[in-house]
Amino acid sequence: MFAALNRGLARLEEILIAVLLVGMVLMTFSQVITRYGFNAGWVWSLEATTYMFGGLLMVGVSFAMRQHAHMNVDAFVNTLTRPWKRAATLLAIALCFTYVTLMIWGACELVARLHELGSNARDLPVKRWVLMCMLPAGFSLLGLRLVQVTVEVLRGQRDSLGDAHGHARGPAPPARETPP
Amino acid sequence: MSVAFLFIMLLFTMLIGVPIAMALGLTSVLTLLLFGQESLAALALKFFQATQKYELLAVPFFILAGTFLTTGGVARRLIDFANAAVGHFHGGLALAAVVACMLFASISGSSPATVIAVGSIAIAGMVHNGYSLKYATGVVINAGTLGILLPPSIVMVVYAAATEQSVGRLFVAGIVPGFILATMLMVAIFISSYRLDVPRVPWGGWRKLGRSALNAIWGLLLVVIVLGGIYVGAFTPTEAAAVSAVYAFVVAVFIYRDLKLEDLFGVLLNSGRVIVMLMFIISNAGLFAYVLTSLQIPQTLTETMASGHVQPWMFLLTINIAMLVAGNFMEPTSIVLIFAPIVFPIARQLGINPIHLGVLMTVNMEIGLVHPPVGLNLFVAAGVTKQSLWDVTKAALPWLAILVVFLLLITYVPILSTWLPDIAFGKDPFLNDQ
Repeated sequence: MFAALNRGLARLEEILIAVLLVGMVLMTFSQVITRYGFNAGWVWSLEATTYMFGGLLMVGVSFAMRQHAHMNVDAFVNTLTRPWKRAATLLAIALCFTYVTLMIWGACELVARLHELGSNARDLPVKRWVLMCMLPAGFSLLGLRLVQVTVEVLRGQRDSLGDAHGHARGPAPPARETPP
Repeated sequence: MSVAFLFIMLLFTMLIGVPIAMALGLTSVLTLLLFGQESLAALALKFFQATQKYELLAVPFFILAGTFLTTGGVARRLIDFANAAVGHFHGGLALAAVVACMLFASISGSSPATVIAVGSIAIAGMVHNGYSLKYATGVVINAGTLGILLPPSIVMVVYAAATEQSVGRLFVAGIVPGFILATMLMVAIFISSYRLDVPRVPWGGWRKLGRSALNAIWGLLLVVIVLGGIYVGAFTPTEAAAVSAVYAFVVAVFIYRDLKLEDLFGVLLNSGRVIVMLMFIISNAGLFAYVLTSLQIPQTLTETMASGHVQPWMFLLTINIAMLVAGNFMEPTSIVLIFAPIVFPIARQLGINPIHLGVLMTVNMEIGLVHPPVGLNLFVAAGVTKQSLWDVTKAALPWLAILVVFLLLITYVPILSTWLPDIAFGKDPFLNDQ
């Protein structure tokens, strides 16, 4: 049950990331086309693109956490003995939780304040507080992933929070060239 | 007190392995809570504002374009073309690898991507023709650093956004230094290949050169579209990035057919991962820059420098050393984001051209990419050639000397960076003190 929910959530994140990324590119590309082809353009297009970018970031942070993609530094912790390294990682996790909690708090406060103001976005016909809900949602997802990382570290399946060597920036594995 | 807290906390959180993005964010938020009056809501908004900057949209687009180009066979055709053009000289295949790196750097904004794209094919080709693996790896790792110097460049986009400079101007500023570095590498290859007596491949004739150029035309055309488009003002750098992402997709899927549509989802996720990782650092670095400003750290430093009669050359040397040290621990984007808000106001005070400073920082980052322990180019090269990190590091080391000489040249001859953009766009009207 829990595992299925987890898989579903992960899948949803991946689909959202792909859709938002494609949406951003096409939105900007179509601006160029309409400007030169039809001498026209949409006012709201830029704002829509930047909010998609924001959405991509907020959905993506937890995805990147799951994929060990956040850059960190391991030069120091690698000089430690195993138990100390584990302690350092757990302390690092505690600090990450502090960060996420503060950001969720701030994001909720922000949404509440914008809700009181009730103003619309600049060009989009949407209330600003609705769009900004992606902030608390994204940080909460990140918090959820951090819980999972904590469990993995405690079980000894993982000993680092991120990616110190840029593996995540390595070549995109082309599905066809690598034999299964 | 607050300043000490800020830097000690940042150092501590990074050392124990907190991801750089969250280390920056947590340190900034805590500092402001303890020593400032800002509300958490204002900080959350500040965090989000990085995604609302138009210039920064170029970062995801260039990364996506780079992924399509790397997986889509564009690199292979560019290498074939470079081989046909200069392969018959002494050390020809190594020279061709440098040319291929230059070409690929002109369509992609990242150094590791350049090393992957060119290295995975060119190194094997050189070894097959009698070069030592060490030599071949060293050439590609170092020529690959051109990725962030020749336009487009993700590091330059980030610097421009952090200091509110023109992205187009910075891109153009990288061209002359990029050609100088490529020339220096090629001269070194030419000389060393005489001594090593590496085998030469025969000249294939003009017909072969023409055919390979025709084959590579779609990749070469992208250079023209991106640079030409920005140069004549047909589109903004952000639009150029979006156009090259769409273009690279069309070429990879429909023209070269090296990428199947069903692999598209994977490519998008791979790019998405890198984009989010960088963007999370950028957003949190926005908080960090905000803290620096509200604690008036740059102002204090500027006043100290002014009262201590610090000369520009000393200041530049200090930046170089500090950034090279930082290059031991962090990747380029984070370093630029942490350093730019601190050194930029001081540099302005000392009359240093902001474009020159941007190029200088980029070259520092190039060096950071090729030396251990966290040089990304070393890691990706170790990955594509299946060597140990230690072997790759030894291979890159002799070439590092060239990069250091190049850095000194760029540092103390500012006209190399400012001449071309001044011709292309006219003198910057905001620089009245120049």
